[in-house]
Order: sequence, then structure tokens, then C-alpha cells
Amino acid sequence: MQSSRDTTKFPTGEELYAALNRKLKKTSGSITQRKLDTGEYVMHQGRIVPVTVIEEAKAEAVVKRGIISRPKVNLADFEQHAELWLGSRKSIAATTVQRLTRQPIRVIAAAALQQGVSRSTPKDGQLFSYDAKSGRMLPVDNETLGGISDRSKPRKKNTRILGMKSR
Amino acid sequence: MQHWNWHDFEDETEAHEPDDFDQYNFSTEDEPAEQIVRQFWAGKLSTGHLYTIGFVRITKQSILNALLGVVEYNGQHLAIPQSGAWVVTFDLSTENNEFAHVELDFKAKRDLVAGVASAVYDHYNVSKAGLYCWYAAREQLISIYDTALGFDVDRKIKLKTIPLMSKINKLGAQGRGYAIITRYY
Repeated sequence: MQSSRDTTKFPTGEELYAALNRKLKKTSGSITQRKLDTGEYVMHQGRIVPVTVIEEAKAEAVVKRGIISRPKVNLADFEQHAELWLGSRKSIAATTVQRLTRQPIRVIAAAALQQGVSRSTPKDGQLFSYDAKSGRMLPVDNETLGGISDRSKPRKKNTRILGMKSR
Repeated sequence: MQHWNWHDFEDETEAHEPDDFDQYNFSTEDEPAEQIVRQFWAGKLSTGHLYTIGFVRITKQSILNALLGVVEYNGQHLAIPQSGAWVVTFDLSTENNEFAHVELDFKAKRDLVAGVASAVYDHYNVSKAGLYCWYAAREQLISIYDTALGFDVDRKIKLKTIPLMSKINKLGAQGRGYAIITRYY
């Protein structure tokens, strides 16, 4: 008659951990298969790889190619932008590249922030803006709010709105 | 009830069926052992590996003693807390390498260590467990665990660490056991 398992002997840490690891492998296999079926994982060169890893690798390759194939800088543009270099941390070349590759920001409106703010109750419709320097939300001074029409206060004739380009 | 999938984990707690590998009875008579798993990629596409990290909840003091030995903590024996005790395992997801050594480049090692630390941190945030147990299956894995669990601070690798925790290493008969005791112990 086959004898039953010896239950008086408790397994060692290594044996327990090996058993846990077998459990993990079994679980891992089922998860992997499930994700292959849903398309979250794919076969890549004979290995199971998450789709996100492949996409990330492709994106990195595109960025690298983009750097290599960047068009040459026109010397005239370089000289123009060199005049704008006002001794910042960046070199002239870096500043030039930055100006050539970035889209200029078109300011539509600007508003002054209230400094020395008292802790009074905010008004209805009060706008706030984040001040990175102080790390606080500061109320926007509605009276000098430019670019946003304030219907409660009709604009007086010949009044200049702060931040708007004169036409 | 925890929605583990919201936190990028898979709840693989099995239905209570006889498991050939569960010969050491991680499950109780009434319910299966809770098992939470996460998979992550470590390294570049061409040289990296897919890893699985698993958390198995333990409820028996005998299992804790077998893994870590009898451990003194704050003047008492380390015991299974009410907040929960989990054993952590991790290994390659697909290759059946039986804990054999896998050569990793720096990016893979960094991703592996960060992935392990993040998984423990995220699991802790969800479960508020009091105790995590670890066991290095081989001597070569000790350096990875030491780095991931904060025993060997590698300043090149930024890791998420559980706040206000105590950690003990070199536990067990072979000196390869680890315990992370959180503030919920």
C-alpha cells in the first residue's frame, strides 16, 4: 500500500520558496497567454513582448532618426538669432536651435496677478492663476484682465486692454 | 474588496481546487491563498526580459517561521499581523530557467530593481499590509534584493520606498531571508 506524505516533517525555507515559485510560474503562464490573446502582448523575434515596449522602442528610433536628418541651419537665421542671445545659460547654437524648432507662442490675453493678497472671501466669478514662483494660487486682478470681455463692466471708448496687441 | 486591476495588478486568487504544487498548504481549509501578480518588462527591447512578481498572502505562523526562522522584533517574535503578511516572489515570466543566472545590462538591472520596488510600494498602498517576507533563491539574487529593498543604496537608481518601515535581512537558516515591517504591523 502506498504510504501517505510525511506530514511531521515541515519543509525548509528553500522548499517552500521553490513551491511558491512554481505557483508563480503557473500563474504567469496563464496571464501571458491571456494577454497574447487580447493583443496586449505580441511575439517579437520569438519572444513574448508587451506591445508598449515595442512602441516605445519605435518612438525612440524615430526620435533618433529625426535628430540625424535635421535640416542645416541657414547662416542668416543664425546671425539674426544670435542678436537675441542675451547671455542666458544656453549657448548661441542651442538658443538658435530652440527658436528655429519651436512654434512661437501667440499671446491672446494676459492678466496681472494680485500681489500681497489678503485672505478675504473670493468674489463670485473670481479667477485664479497658479504662481510657480510662490507655489500658490493667486487671484487674477479682474480690472486689468485683458482679452476676456467683462460684460458687467462695459469697455469705455479708447480704453486699452492690457496684453492685447494694438491693431 | 480591492480592485487590483486598477493598480496594474492581476488578482490570481484561485478557486479552491486541489493544486499539485500547493503541497505545503498555503491555502487554508476554507479559502484559497490570495495571490496578486504584476508583470513588467526590464531592459531594452532586444535584450530585456519579462518578469512576474507575485504576492501570496500567508496566514500560518509555521510558514513564516520556515521562511525566516524565529525573528525577534521589538522584543517579541515576529508574527503574522492582523493587517496581513505577504510573501513576495518574482522570476522570469516565460523562460523556465529554474532560478538560473540571467545576465543583465545596467538598464535591465535598473528597470528590474525599480519594477520590484514599485510593485512592493504599490501593493502596500492598496493592502496596507504589516509584513512582507522575501527569500533569495540564490546567492546571486541577494545583490538585487539588497538594492530593491534599500539595504544597498545605489544612488544611480531612484526607487520608491515604503515610508516608516523597518527592514531586516540575512534571516533564515541560509541567511537569505528578508522582512519588511510597515507601520501597519
